[in-house]
Amino acid sequence: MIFSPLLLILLPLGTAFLIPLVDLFHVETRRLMVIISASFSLFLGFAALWSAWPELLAGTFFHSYHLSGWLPPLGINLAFDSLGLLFSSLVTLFSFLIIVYSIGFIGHHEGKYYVLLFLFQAGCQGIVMTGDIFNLYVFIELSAITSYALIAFERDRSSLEATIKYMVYGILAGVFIFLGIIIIYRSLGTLNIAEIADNFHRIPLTLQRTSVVFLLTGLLIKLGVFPFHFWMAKVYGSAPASISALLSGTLAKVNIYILLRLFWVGTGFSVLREAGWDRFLLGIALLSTILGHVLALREREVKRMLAFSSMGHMGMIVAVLSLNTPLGLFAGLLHAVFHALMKTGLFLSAGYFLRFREGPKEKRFTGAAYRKLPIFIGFIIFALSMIGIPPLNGFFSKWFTMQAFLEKDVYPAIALIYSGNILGLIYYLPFVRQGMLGKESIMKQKSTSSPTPGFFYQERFVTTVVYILILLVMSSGLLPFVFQEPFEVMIAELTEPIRYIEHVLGGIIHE
Amino acid sequence: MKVFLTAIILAFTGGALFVNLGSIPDSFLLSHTASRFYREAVVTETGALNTVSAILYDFRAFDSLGESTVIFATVSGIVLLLSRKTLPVSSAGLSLIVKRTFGILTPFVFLLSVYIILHGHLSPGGGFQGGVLLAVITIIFCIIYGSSFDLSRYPPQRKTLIETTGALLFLGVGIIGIALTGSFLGNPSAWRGVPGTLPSAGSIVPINLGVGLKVGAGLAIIFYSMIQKTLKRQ
Repeated sequence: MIFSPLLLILLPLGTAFLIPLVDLFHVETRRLMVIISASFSLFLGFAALWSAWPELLAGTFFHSYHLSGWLPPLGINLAFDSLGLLFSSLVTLFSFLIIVYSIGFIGHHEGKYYVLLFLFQAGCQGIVMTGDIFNLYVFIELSAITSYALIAFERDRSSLEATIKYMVYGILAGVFIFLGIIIIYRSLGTLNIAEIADNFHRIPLTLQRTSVVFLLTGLLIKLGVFPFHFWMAKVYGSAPASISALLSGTLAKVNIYILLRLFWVGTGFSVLREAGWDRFLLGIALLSTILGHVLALREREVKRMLAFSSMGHMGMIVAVLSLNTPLGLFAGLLHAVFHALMKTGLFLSAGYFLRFREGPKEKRFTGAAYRKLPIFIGFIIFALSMIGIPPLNGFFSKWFTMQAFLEKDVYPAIALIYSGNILGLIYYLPFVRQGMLGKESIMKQKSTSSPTPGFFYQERFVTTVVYILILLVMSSGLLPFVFQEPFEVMIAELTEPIRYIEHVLGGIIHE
Repeated sequence: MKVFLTAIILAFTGGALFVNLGSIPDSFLLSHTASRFYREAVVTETGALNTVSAILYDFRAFDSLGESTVIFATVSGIVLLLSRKTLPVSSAGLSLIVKRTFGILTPFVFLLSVYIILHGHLSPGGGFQGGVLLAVITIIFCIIYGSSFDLSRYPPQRKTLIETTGALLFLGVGIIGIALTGSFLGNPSAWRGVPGTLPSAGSIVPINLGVGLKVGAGLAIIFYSMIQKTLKRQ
């Protein structure tokens, strides 16, 4: 690495602190600053990936940073390994795309919106980099609180309702995670994830399981897996499209990262397996897959439909990860990356059309094809990729998922995923049809609600982002094998947590 | 029936928790824990007499940066949700006696909050606690003198300015730490001074000040955004 990974957290954080200050003096400068800062953090993300690539392939990539200069058990440390690098790159890429999209999409209260968006980015980067479990909790709360405010951004009845619902579930999840952390700290006396991983077996078995139950429950609420899925449709349906895309594309993937970091590295997967909870996890995740696809069938509102589809796919990722085989982990990570691309694209292209019409949400999608055909074709491409049509990327991740289930002889899972695909075809088609109804005159340019539209408020930004996503979905479908080598390194890290422990604690005297 | 069922589930969960948490070991299972080090070496390593402050702003300063950022995010969120296009409405305030009494008291409230913030490394308190007291001044202004008084003497723009100054001060001290000690938020030993005196404990004092400004102005903004809506024009 040519620079410290800390910069990826500090840049969005500093930008968020500066925005209100600059906003007091000159609004246009703030707009410019948002673009510059977003581009610069994208550049940093690319530079990190570029400079780490050789080490990543060699399997030696690890970057440690000791904050305040204290070595791990005493202070907080950043432990940036290849898994963290993957998710950090995802966060950087999608934050950049959504900030650019928002420049053309959000017309009012921009100052506060970007403050919250940059803080959200800083929180997500912190989650994927930190090597300290309490610091992890602080960043989880940071990303949660910013997302509450962003969901309520429209301030109408339904979005406020959604926020309260999400807030109750989010706080509940936070409390559960916090309780799990307290139990671990009270038993061991350390907050460092590597040290916890090294000594977790010394905790009495009942306490091990209690803390795992708390952490797992909190994370499953955040992921929206089956018994805790109630908030998803409401939240994704009422938030602005850019925020729904951010929640489903980025935050959900960051939660997958926390799941991997805590249960594969932190506690060791054997705790789950010996209690038989990996089968339980597999069961509820599969239930959530099929339930998500079935519930999506009856939705007539495009964003709510996407929310349920998201629930189905997140369930599939959790299910295939819980197999804990190299192939299963590979398929899970691959689908996490590809699903982020596809779902962000779907939300952003749908959001572009929903902006033009007032009236009942069910009818806002009518006439989309006549408004802007390329974006509508993009929507169809994303949908096809979701269903798993071969040349697109969704096919490959589902292919590997099926293979992983076949390898472990979990045949019901294959049946469920197949039926999920067919259901997907059924629930995407009505929206394609609806988009082709009507005429162009139905979707007129709505007058902007922005007091000062300015230079940057242009439709071009919105469409460009969707085109970039189409390009990414198609190109990653053509070369999915780029991911194979780096993912194998990450899988090795997950299955042998001792490497993480040695990287963090190596050379530091401990028992 | 529903209540009955809930009670049974709650009792069952509570009982299970009670049994399980009973097996928490009496002392930490690891012998070389951070907390033991903090107890033994906090004065020599950081120069602060107040161990809590030393942990918050030196050993785990990054957590405090995150926590004060959570407050910053909350303030931004609440201002976003409560912002109105109309100007703030005003109340006339309370009677003359109350106004004159608080005219004498308010400077001392300010003094106390500054004292608590600046003595964070010596005595109980620090940036978060002093900042909350600082926010009380806006509440006094709004309730006793009326919110138009608060608007004219302590306008929202100035609150935002103070809040971001605090946030940037925290970040700035961290970056100075990179320059002087080589790590973000490092406590430069050149600033450590004599333990027990006011200018000591290195970067803990400026960080306390930054957190105090951030929290004080932030909570003032929250209160101000809320009162704007609830009071009627008279």
